[in-house]
Amino acid sequence: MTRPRSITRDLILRLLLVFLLSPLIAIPVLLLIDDETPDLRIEPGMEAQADLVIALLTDGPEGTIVLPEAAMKAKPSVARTRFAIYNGASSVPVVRWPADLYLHNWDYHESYDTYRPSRFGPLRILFVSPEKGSAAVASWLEEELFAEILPILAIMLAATLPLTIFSVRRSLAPMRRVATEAAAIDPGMGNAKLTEAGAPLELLPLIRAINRGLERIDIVFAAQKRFSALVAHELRSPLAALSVSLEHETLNGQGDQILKKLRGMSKLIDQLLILSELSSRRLKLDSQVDLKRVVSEAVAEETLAAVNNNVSLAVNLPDSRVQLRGNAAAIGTALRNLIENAVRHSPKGSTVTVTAGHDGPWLEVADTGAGIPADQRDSVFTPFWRSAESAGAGLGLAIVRQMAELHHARVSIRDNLPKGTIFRIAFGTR
Amino acid sequence: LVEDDAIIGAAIRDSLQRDGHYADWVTDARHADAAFGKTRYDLVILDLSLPDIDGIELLNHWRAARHGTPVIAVTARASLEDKIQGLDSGADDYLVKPFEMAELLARVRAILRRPGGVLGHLLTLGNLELDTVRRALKVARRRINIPRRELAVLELLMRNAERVVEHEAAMRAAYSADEHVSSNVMEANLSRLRQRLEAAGADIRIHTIRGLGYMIQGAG
Repeated sequence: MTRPRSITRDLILRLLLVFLLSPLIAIPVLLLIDDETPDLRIEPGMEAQADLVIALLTDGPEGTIVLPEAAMKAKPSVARTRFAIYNGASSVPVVRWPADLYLHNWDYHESYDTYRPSRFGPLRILFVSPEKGSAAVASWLEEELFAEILPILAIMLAATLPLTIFSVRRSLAPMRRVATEAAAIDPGMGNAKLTEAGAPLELLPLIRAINRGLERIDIVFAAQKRFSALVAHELRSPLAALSVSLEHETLNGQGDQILKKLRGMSKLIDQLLILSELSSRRLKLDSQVDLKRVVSEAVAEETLAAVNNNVSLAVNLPDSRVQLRGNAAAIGTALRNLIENAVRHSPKGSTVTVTAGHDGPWLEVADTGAGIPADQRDSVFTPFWRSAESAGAGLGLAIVRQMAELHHARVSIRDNLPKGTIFRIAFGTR
Repeated sequence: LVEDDAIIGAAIRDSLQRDGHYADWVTDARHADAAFGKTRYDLVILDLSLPDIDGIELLNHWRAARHGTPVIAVTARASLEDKIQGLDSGADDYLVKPFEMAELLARVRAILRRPGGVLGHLLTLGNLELDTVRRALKVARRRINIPRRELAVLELLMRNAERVVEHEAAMRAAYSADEHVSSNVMEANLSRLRQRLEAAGADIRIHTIRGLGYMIQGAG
């Protein structure tokens, strides 16, 4: 067995890879974006702009300095900048651009200072970053995050999401395999187990626990099977010995009565055992069944008993093959019970007809007996139910119903016209 | 006869003897195997639940060694699966305990009546006696003549007395493969055969199971 694979390890490794990949992609991208925003301190154009601004300054009233707005607007490259001009050592700017410029503390952190001699005296021009504060954040959000970073992140997500989904699904594939295996487990299989080989570490305890559970169930199943076999053997052997020696000794008239009782008991045990076998669901139900063969064999086996009761049997089979998946022995046993029942309730000299059809497929056993009243048609399938005149053990039809249930077939009763009953087993109702 | 139960074993052996057979009776698989190796038996009646080895195992062992001796398996287990398993492992017939002795004897006779079996030469049923080698039929000790095809079908039916012979098997017995005849012909053959046998005073009945086949039954 190879080393068990771990879902956790797989997931962690793969997701870690995804998380490592995204910043690795994001950092250079962000750096690239950052690079494009003008850095005032190193921007070479600033000196030229300072010269432009100085050149535009004109005299205002009372010795003030004025920056004509119209002239500024004419030079868009300068108009976009923000600056304050100080005269000499004064801390109050003599010119502000834009006129309502208010300098925050942070503006000084990223600013560009330059000095120019002028006809107004030495002037200090302080360029500050174009916009700061909430307005700047908003514009950054708008221009960089939404326009550039988010699309990139979306592309990254789109690229990594299928990978992540694929990874997780791949990692969990063994779980689906185990589930498929578990779904196929059927009591009839015997010794069914989930495969441990190739299963991941996290799944192994679950598989082992289920397997131990299945083992315990198997033990109970086997015990039940042994018990049935034992009951069968322990009950049948003394009965066999008794009936054989009774037959052997050829007793008087009373012996016949005892023999009859013994045979009734044997029959009852047979049917109980078949019923318990059918209800235990340990039968294999997936064999290809040739229904025509099942019918022929069942009728052949019931023929001697029928002719001894002065009842004829007849078979009506289609020419084509009639096949289904199931258990031939179970279907045959059920059919024999139906035939036996029909023969028992048939008048002497009449015929019991067994018909099969491939559209379904279906089986019918028709007799010309007294018929079954409509209000009794459900109860006839109850174990030990017996009509007033019935001589059977009362398990035959219970066996028929149990077999039908196992095969997902439907048993129905209808009148045989002009007289009698038709039992129909319709397969393929699943 | 391989049977571990004393009462059943004795009863079967005595019944077989009364029916004109001779049987060796052992009670476990070890002795059965030893006896089987020494004597050429015509038939083995094998109880599948033996004290030492499982009967099916013993049967598999014999079949693996290519012993073709017919075997009737007898068992008290008889689950639906066991039956298939028993026949699959090479038993020629299969009987569930408790059975009626008459049933066992009928099956023994059926197997011995097979061609080549000890009873395969002279078939008897009721007051019918069919010499399969001389192709001669006697009813109540009087020889009667019946046509070849009807005799062939009668032979097949008598070899399988009280068992259903399927229509196709009867056709194969009476007609060769290249004879293309309507399947209604068989029913006509049989009704003539019934008339002939009845006229001769035979105490047997030939039943028709419409759609399946035919079965011959002795009187009583």
